[in-house]
Amino acid sequence: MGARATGVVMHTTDGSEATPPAGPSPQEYSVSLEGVSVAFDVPGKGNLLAVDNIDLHVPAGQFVALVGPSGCGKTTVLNMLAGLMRPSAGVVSRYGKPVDGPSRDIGYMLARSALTPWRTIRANVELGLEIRGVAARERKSRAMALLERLKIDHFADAYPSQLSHGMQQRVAIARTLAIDPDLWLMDEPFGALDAQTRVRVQSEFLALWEGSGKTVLFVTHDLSEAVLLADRVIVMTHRPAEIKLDMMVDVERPRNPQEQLFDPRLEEIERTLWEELRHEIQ
Amino acid sequence: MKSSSTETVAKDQVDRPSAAPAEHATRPPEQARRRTRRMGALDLPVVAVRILIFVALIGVWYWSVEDEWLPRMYTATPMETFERLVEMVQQSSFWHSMQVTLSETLLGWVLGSSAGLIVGLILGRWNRLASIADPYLTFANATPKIALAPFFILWFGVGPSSKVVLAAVIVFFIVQVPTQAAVSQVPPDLNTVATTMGATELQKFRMVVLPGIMAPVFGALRLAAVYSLLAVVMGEFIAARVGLGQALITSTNQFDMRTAFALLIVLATLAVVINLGVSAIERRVLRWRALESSASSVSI
Ligand SMILES: Nc1ncnc2c1ncn2[C@@H]1O[C@H](COP(=O)(O)OP(=O)(O)OP(=O)(O)O)[C@@H](O)[C@H]1O
Ligand SMILES: [Mg+2]
Repeated sequence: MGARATGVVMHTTDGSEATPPAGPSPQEYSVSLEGVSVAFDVPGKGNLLAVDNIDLHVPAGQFVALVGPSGCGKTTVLNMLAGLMRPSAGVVSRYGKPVDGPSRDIGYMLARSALTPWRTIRANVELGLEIRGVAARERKSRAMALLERLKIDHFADAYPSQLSHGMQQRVAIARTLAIDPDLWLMDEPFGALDAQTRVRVQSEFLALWEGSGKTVLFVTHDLSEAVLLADRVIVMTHRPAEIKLDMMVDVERPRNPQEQLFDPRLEEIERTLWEELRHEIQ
Repeated sequence: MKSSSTETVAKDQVDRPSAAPAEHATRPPEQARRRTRRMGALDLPVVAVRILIFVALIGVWYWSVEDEWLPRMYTATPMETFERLVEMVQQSSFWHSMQVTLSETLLGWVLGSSAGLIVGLILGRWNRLASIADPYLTFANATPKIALAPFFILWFGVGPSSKVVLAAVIVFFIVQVPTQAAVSQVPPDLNTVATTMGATELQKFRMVVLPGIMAPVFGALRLAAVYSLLAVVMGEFIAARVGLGQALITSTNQFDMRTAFALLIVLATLAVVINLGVSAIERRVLRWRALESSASSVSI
């Protein structure tokens, strides 16, 4: 929140004198990747280039879906933003400041729900708050509020192993958002859910995001999911990942995944994206 | 609104491989607790068969003594043993021996476990240190540690210290090896989640590593407690002034078989009680695991 406010102020003071209105200044982007490449040192195979010279700028408050073939480097991009690793070349920055480690205003939901089996559902959701030293009462009320919004509050005292997969994913969402992050990194959060459960959880997730003003980077394999949820879809090539297509989804908000699953405008966009992606899969 | 939330629950049940009854979905904790209690309750046929086996074992014991499968002077009947047991528990010397053996066992267990836990945690955390220590630990662990008993008695005397040291050395390896393995087996995802949330190393240790290794560590602690008693009794066999093991070796040397058999039963009971005690603590600490296993047992 704080970082964002400064970004805007810096733009107005700097921007009026120096840069002409050629687009937002770097300080205004919630996420910027500039010439980012990542090479992994694989024993026996030498250097493996996973990400190749990516440029991506995400304004604050935008919901961006990242789509691309398996193994192309999507998780790698999220890991860099979460401060878990650094690019081999280029700069990953937030509001103009390079990312140099895990940050407290980023929420990262891993592809596997990775709930802590010995903590109750509520205690799982409270994890980030506990790390931050938030007082127990405050933790409880924030966790319960989120669990209620995701309709799993009656499971607060259960353990993860007692929950269905769909419920576990909802708990993971609640855990990620409990710290009220400014940037939400979601790595295929609904990938393993069956179609019906997925639509439900998508709706609940979208309801949490819409109007929140938070920035979302949402990795998915599912084009219809990307189009349904995002403001903007980025299609990546197969490894080494480059940006193949960057497309806006100009469909009004709020959206309702349950009603718009077969929205013709969304289907049209999805078709265009599919034409691009299918060449990458072959 | 109400109906839609119940619908979510009902549908979520479907994608769960071991679909439990629908009521499980709405009230999971209560359900699971009820289930654990039911599992703990007495199962009559099992109890009946157990009693039958017990009676048969006593019968075989009695018959083997009466029929003199072994010379009569080397054995005692169940009845003689029981009488001696009743007599013994009224003597203060018995309780003194019991107290010495128990305190040696407890001290050896606590010292050995603490050291094993600390070393296991350190070596599990720093792999390079583990690589350095590994050959030495493997060598030490491979040594039959009971063979150290005569040395310890020489170095630490006939008193309790030599028994405590022997027990601690045996307990150390029983706890250190599984602890070290458990640390490296804590799911890396859990650590990553904590890292992205900005956890310090200390917080990760407290919130992820420590609770993550509890299950295997408790298994080791339970085993270690029984081995601690074993080590103390062995130590007392070799040289001691007081203790249950010392009393046992003295009675067999004097062909006082009633006492020897009575002491054997005391020692076995002690081991069972120690085991139950640690298990009780374990169940409290690992409540989530009890619920987990009860949840999976339902699907059978
Ligand atoms: N730590 C690592 N060491 C070596 N290679 C790695 C490492 N992490 C990722 N890679 C490689 O980098 C490439 C990109 O990985 P990444 O996990 O980012 O892909 P992804 O797009 O998230 O794939 P998926 O859709 O299957 O999750 C893959 O080919 C992978 O094998
Ligand atoms: Mg991935």
